[in-house]
Amino acid sequence: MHREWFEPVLAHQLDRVAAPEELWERVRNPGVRRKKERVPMSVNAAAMSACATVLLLAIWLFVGHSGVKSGDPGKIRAWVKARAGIDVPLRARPAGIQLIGANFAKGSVEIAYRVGGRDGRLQVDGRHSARGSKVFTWSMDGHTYTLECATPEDLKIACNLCHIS
Amino acid sequence: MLVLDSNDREVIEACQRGDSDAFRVLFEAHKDRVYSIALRYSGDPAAAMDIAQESFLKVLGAIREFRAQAGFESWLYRIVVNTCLDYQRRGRRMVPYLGDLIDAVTAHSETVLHRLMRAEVEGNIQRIVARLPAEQRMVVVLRYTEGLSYEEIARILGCSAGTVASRLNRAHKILERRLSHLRGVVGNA
Repeated sequence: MHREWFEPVLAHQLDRVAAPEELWERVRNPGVRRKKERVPMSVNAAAMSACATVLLLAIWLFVGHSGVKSGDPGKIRAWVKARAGIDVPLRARPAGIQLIGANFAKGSVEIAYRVGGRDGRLQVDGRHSARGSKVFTWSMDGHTYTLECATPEDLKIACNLCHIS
Repeated sequence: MLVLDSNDREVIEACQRGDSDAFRVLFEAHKDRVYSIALRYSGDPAAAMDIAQESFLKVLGAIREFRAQAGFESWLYRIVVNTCLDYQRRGRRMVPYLGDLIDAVTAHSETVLHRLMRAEVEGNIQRIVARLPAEQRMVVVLRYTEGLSYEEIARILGCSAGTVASRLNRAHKILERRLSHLRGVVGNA
């Protein structure tokens, strides 16, 4: 085996080293153990901060970013309303559409569905506007649509702008 | 060779009679060996200090039972090896150390680059060795830190020379693969 290059390296790098002077003191006084290395408070704070960040990220991933899988419009509607405070008026039997489920992340709801075997999704952003009313935003054909309503219930009426009720 | 010379024998006999000065002589004669094995095996200076301390305390506690014909160094090696393995089994900290790197950074400016490179290479090798399985790692340490023969290692570990060769061969394959990135660097470090 071709290893002549690293055997001298090992022999050199793993060579004996001098024992620290304090070793004798520790052998002579077995009660003397090495002092516990005190971690500076700033390091502790940084570690706690890192842990908190990881925890928040985990919560965001597993709770805030969670979703529901269902083909039941009522179940999805209830889930979205409970999670996002947005009442998306899904029809009980949307013709030609198979619902898959919904996700909610960063204040945005995404309802997944299939049409003719092709994936689709309805995105709804719900946030309070500066005037305190409800704002609903969605995208279609590359455009972003926003509806500003006083209550989620008003969305049903606002939909009449474009759709047959 | 793991033989006991006449001076060692006198010192050991004095230790067996409870002569503390003699134990200091014994300690001074073997402290670097004991500490080096512990350090190369554990990869951590703090762990090495614990292991070395414990090893010498075991020597002190058992020196009366030592029989000269057994070979003092073999006996000492067995104590250190077992202490290393016990320490690891107890789940104590065994991590590659960054002390050299820190030392290098804080070292005199003229030698910072050289020390950094040396510390980096040494740290790399120590880390890689520290990741070997325990049995292979111990064989590597006894072979390269202590320069022992297969037969001497076999006697210390209580196995055959063939087993030692086999463990070393497996370790070599791993080390050659993992150290390949250092090829060409080590000559300058």
